[in-house]
Amino acid sequence: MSELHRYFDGRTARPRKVLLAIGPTGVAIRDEDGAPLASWPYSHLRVADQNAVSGAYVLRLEPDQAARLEVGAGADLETLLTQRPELKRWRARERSGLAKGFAKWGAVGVAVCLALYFGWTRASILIASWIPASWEERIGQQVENAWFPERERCSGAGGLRALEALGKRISPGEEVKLFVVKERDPNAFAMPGRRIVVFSGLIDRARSPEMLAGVIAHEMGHVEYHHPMRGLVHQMGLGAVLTLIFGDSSLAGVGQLALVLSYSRDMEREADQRGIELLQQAGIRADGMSAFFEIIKKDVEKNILHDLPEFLSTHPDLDARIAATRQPATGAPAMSDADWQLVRKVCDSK
Amino acid sequence: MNDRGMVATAGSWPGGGETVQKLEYDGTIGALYWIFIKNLLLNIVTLSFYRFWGKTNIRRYAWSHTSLQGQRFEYTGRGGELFAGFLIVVVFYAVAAILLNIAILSAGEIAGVIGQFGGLVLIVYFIFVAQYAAQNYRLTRTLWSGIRGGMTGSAWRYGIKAFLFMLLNAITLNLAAPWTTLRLVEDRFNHSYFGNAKASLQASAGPLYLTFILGFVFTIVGMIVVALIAGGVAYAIIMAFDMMPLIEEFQRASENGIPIELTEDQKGQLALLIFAAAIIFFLGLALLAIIAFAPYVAAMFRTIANNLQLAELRFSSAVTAGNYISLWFGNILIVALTLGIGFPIAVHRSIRFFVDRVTIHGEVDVDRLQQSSLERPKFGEGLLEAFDPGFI
Repeated sequence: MSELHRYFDGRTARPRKVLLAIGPTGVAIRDEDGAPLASWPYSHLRVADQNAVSGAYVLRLEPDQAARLEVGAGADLETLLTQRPELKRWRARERSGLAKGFAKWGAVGVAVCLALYFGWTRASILIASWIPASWEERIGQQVENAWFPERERCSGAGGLRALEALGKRISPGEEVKLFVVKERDPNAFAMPGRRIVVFSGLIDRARSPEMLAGVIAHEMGHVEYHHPMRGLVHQMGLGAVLTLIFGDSSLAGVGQLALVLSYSRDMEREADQRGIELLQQAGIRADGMSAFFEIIKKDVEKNILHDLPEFLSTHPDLDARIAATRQPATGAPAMSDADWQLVRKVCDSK
Repeated sequence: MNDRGMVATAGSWPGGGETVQKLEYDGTIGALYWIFIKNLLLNIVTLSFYRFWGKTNIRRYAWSHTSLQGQRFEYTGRGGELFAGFLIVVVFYAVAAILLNIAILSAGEIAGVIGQFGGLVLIVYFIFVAQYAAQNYRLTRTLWSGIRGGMTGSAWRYGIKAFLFMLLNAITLNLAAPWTTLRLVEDRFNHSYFGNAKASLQASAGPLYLTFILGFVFTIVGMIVVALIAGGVAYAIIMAFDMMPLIEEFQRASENGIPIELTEDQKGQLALLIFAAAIIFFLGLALLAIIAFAPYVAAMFRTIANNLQLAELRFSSAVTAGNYISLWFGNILIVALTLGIGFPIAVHRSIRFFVDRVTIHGEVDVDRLQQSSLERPKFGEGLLEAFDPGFI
């Protein structure tokens, strides 16, 4: 056998003319004078490429050290392929390797996404707790100005005073800014920077001041647990990842998305519980919360309301939440009748 | 990293007996199509996540069908490397975006605008960093005769330089562009190695200015001409259909705010008028964009090719503006007329264009070309992938 092949040792670019000895366990590479240059065992032998024109096989070693052996079409190649027929199927093997690689990376990708999604909930709690109160205050101010500008807020002085007093009774330790806007939906939000906004539709739909107190106590729960900031950070992170995957890199878009405040089921449950506790500590009749949830539930069932308001937005376990917040009808009223009438007219002066 | 001592310095320019060669490319459109179709289908199935592997397939094909001195190139990159780089960037970007957003939201209006601007600056900076890092990745994954390439220097440093140059372009109303562009290309080449051979490029931007300013003048004059032609055609249509009274009626209606009733004939005439004017205007602008700066792009290509050295190799190119115009025109027509299906043909033409238009003088001395000792990055092109998903 005196077929000559080309060998690159991976150190210089010189192609060496080599003789091959194709044995049972590997290929011995010798120079033209028969001096051994390298010995490649089959266990580490791979096909790097195949010359599209000459049909020569380009072989390499695993792990790849850049050395290449080009075995031209001929008797040696025949012998090698008889000895190791799997080399012929290198493209198919490469494809299956690719599929495996893709599957592996796909699994890594899914794992990273899951870790991000679940880990992110925890991370966002941590990040939210790092944000200084003064920053949060300014964020709250911006959200407030953007969504509920001063001129849209209700200004009935007596009603606002009564609401403020109710807020103080429910949560004496927190400096919370409470305001009312004229909107038909029975809705209320907690916003960053210790702000609670109540829609006039909520006051209209509440049959007693205790029902209103129930919803306010629930929002106070959100405020105490820092939920608005947590939700904001959480949304921002998901938004950032989504914009990146879908190829839009404008930070502004991420910011817009982040303003959609929404809470997880756990957060709602926490707020319910804390709300009830606050009402009990204040000695206020605590059966208003579940009673009001029930009203809203019926409204939705009767199609009077199309969507659940923010504070009830975790639809599937609504019944569970009503059951969990059910309280005896004992305790002091939330406010006097006179105050309640003022609260009901808080938006009339607009 | 320093330049190595064993760098092969290029010998003196050989005399009349120099070898002249070209890169050989023997890939076929058919084979390229097959790869593209497979990639397309798998991209659809995997919500585009296959693109990293798809891109790798195309590169492997293009590299292994290109040869120098009868020896084929090999692309040794892996799709997983590109994907890993992308994942790292996703996580980093998400955290950076949140921190920046919170800072922006909490900072009030003026500081918020500054913060958003800062975010934009950061993204532009990263795109420049990515350019450099991507070139490094591709060089380290290119094998020829058992030798691979690589780059020294820092992508972060290059990013700062490129960003400052961009500011310089803005300050000088883009007049610095030929100079800054060439300096950045130089920077990338002068940090590039193949094996132990350092690439070197020193060129003057001066001669580029003639074509660059020509491009400017041509654009302005061309815009006026296009506007005049579009206006002239519109005028001809108005006269042909005697539409003046209708247009006067429109003017009165818009002043008084009264809607007017149109007959079917009038609607047809108006549609023709708007359609013809718009088509001429936009086609003209597209044409202009291709033609105006083709001389500049061709001159830039020639300047780079004629001044580049790598080991014993010198390069030259006689590419002309006409070559570029026919390449771009052809590609746009092929892709547009086939609604994108002709894309692989355009890719094939672009590869051929590059291979055919560069002449290589001299031959690589295979004994002097030794293996690179430069670092091989573990992950590929994450940044570039995140901000610019190109095809090759």
